[in-house]
Amino acid sequence: MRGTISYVETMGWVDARPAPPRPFATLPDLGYPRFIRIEGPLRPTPMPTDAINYQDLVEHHDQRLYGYFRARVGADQLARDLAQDTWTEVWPRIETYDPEIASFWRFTKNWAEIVLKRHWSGKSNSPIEWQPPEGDDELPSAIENQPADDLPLDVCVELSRALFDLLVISMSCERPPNELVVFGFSKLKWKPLEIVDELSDQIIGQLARRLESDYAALVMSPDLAKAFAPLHAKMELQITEVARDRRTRNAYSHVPEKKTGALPLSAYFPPDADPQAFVTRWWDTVRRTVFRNIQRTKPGSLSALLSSSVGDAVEEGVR
Amino acid sequence: MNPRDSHFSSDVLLDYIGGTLGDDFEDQVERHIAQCAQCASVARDATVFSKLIEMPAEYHAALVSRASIEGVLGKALAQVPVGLRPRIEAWLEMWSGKAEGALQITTNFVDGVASVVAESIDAFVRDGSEWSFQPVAATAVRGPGDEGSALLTTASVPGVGRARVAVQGGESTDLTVRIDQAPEDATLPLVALTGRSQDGKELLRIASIVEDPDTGYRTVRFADIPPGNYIVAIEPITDAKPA
Repeated sequence: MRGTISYVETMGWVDARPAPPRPFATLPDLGYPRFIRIEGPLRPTPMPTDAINYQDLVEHHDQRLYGYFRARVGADQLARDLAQDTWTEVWPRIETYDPEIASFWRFTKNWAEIVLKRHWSGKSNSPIEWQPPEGDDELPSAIENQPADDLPLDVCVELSRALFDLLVISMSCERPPNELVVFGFSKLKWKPLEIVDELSDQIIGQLARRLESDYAALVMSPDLAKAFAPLHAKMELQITEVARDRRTRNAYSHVPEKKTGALPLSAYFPPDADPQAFVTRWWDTVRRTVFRNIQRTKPGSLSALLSSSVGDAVEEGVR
Repeated sequence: MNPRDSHFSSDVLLDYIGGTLGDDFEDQVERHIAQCAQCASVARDATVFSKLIEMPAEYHAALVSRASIEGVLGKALAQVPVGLRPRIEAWLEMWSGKAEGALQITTNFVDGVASVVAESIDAFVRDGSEWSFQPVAATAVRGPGDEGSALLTTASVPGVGRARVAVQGGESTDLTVRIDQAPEDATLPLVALTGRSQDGKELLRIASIVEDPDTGYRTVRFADIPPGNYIVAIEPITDAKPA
């Protein structure tokens, strides 16, 4: 059972104290930062280029910069602060900006990414050397999850719970079973080519059972059967019964009218299509459907994680 | 697009976070998000979602394994006094680290007001245990001298608790576990408290329940716990046999 038990008055009063001073309180609140913060050693050096042009550039991009942070952090004020921190980094380095290497937005965005990573890693004072982008390459964004042993226990509990919930939502989403099976095997680190080469000839119903079994061998949870039950239930239905919308029914019009679980995975690939491309497409379709379902039923539920220690762990996992 | 126009779809915002939109479209989306709270919220959801959805089952498994009392006890073995180690080793060996009862407790302290959220963690509880914690009305648990304290308690069954966990909030928290019902000849259990404070400090304490000769109460108290997220696990009562 979960719930707030109560709160305890511990110091004899409960009236709110004055709010702490807001950063940059002297600046007019225009809804997004229009001016950079200038302080201490970062006071701008003489402008190497036309000052008015630079000011124009900043004013042109700062709304976008605020949008960039607003999409990625859990609090609007934090987004404003991070945007201002970015301008604070960009301003003294304006001399290094070369329009022939990258656009001013890309120059700024690189610093935004550094500021964001610094925020997530909690090293707000660590010096970070900026490396000029190589061509159009973005900063590395490969997911490298933090080793579980490095995470606090409470974060592990919440994060594993979130992943289990996501598994339940995924396996019960309204996509045909072949897509769910492919999605499940990709969670087990099967690559599209491996799925095509090694699983195409196997019966979907058997693959679903193998998926659950392989998952159970890894993840010790008594509730796994509950997560996979909706997938197994679909195996008894025909494709016309599990493909809920006309578009999906048309996409699977070539599939024989039999129980879905009795067909091999290959029966779901359209004739003359590249199976590997479809494996990737199915995975992506499930991903989008799951996200749409979460937005429909629990909007903001994932954002809430951002403001918790779990959010820190999730974000730090992308360093 | 301005905020009064229709919103971007969740698919577009997912693609935006995935970095697969063209630069012009990305510009449009970011300027819209700067003005639209709804799309900002969906984009933030997409930020978390796009990372969670790509976490492999292997990582899920590592989290589940780590998020167990077994993991805590293993870590505790290296830190506790030598005298406690056989008890902890027995807890690990006989019960695979499962607990008689386990609670997740989150404490907070803002503007002079302390709050506590508690949740029973059934996944950590041994087979056959009936200790599922429920919130009950505040009562004193440590004895006559403490009856004036502001306390929150939980009990296994309201009114007929077998164990109680009380939290006294403040700038730091005192947490007390009291065993009300245990077999006469049972060894009083260890209690493990672990977690992380809001400022990121790891905390791990293990102590045994002891009986106060004056009051007869069988309690253990963990003092000065800073606000944060914690797990309390109680060792299986020793007359019970592993399933």
